[in-house]
Amino acid sequence: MSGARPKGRVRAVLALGTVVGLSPVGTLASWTDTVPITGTTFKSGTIDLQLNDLNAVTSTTLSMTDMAPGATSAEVFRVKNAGTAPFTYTITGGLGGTDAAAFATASALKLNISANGTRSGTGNAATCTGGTAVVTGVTLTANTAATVVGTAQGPLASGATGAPLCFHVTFASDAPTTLQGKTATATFTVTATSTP
Amino acid sequence: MTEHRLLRVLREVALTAGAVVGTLCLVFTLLSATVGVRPLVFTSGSMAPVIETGDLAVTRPVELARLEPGDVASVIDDRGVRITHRVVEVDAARNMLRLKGDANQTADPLPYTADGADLVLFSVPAGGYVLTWLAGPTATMLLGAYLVFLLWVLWPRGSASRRAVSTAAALVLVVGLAAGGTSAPQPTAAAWTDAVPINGISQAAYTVPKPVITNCTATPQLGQSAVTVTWSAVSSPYALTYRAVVTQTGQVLTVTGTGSTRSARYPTARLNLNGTQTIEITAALPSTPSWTSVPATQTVGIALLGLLPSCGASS
Repeated sequence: MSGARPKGRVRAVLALGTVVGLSPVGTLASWTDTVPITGTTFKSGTIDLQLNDLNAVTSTTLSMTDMAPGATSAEVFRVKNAGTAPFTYTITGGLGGTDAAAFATASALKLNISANGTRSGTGNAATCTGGTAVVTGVTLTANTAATVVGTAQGPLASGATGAPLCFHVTFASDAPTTLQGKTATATFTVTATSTP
Repeated sequence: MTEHRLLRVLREVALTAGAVVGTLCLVFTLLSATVGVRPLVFTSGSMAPVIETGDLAVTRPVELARLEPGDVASVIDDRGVRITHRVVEVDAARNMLRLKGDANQTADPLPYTADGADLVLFSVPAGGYVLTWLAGPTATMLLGAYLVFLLWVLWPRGSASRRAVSTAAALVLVVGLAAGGTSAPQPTAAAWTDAVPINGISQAAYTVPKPVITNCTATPQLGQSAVTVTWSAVSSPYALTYRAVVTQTGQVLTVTGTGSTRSARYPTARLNLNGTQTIEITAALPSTPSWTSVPATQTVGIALLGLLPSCGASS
């Protein structure tokens, strides 16, 4: 007993460090501005957002030909969580093609998105009716990575289907005559991010 | 005797293991207080296979300018969630940072705005699970029991040197508890992302078609001399309106006719001038009159003070 005591005390002093480093009293209580580590759930699984049950969608009714000022088009996309982890999503998008800048400069193409909206009307007069506005009057710029819906939507649980999103593109009624005959392509990207 | 020996072995193991772990903790706490080194627990797996769910990473705060593409950095996004992904692009001048999870096919949708970020120095597989367990109630109780054991070992038994050792231990504990706050492990979502594109959208603006002049008739008749220009209405999804103007004078001519053929009559009889004039025909959108076509033109010759008009070239 007496022989091991002095050596033991040094180790015991050092071992007090475990209390300093590991105990919730030592490390967590004074850390109040961040999420406490207790209660953290670990996630494994996959994340898979699908639009209309697909991983890449080709629009069928958002395109317009012979657009005159005031022309509109609409299409509904169904968002689904086909993975095993919950997610929220954001939307980016904009214009491409040689005339993209001309449309963007004139703020000629605008996008509304409404949740639970339905498409009504035909041709260049199709619109979204009903539902709740997600974004209104977003001017499409010549940057296909521009933010369209920056506020995270959802979350969507695994297997859940979100509110159908009705996209509504408007060719401004004050679009300048210089845009006659010009064409731009539009691309949107819906990006899911796993929820913390 | 054997029981006593077993207890002694247990005591030795507990002290030695505790001393090793405790020294690591003290070193870490010291680094945490001085350099800002901080543990991160990964709660999801978008940095797989380099960093898996439940791994523990050790980070150090750096300025954005010191980050390079390829580094793994941790930032707090605008929702207050800590994200740890690989750096794709750094714009230190604008305090912007783009990140991408190794297991994600695309970069995170939005750039992060930050003065600095926490650079991941290294990671310990499954270390996060261990740390999280340590922060739980079971581990807290065990740690408390261990603390009692340590105090028992250190408890002074009369001699001055023993009292000094225990005072030092108490000091280490107090100082350590005060400094320890900086090293709290934080959960980080190495968030997965999945991007779905919507393609095939083409927005083509209408071109108002140029009218096609089909006929021009000059009528030399005393007192009623005139030129009549006729053009065909081009097929259009819109009910186009037409306008005929004499370029030189600005005189607007009345357009007559409906359907596929329109015409405009230019009375020339009382014009006391000679020479060539041009009639411009333009089509326009009914809803947006500023959207006009390229003009079709018809030149008109006027002789004998308007008594003898004639049709010239048209385009």
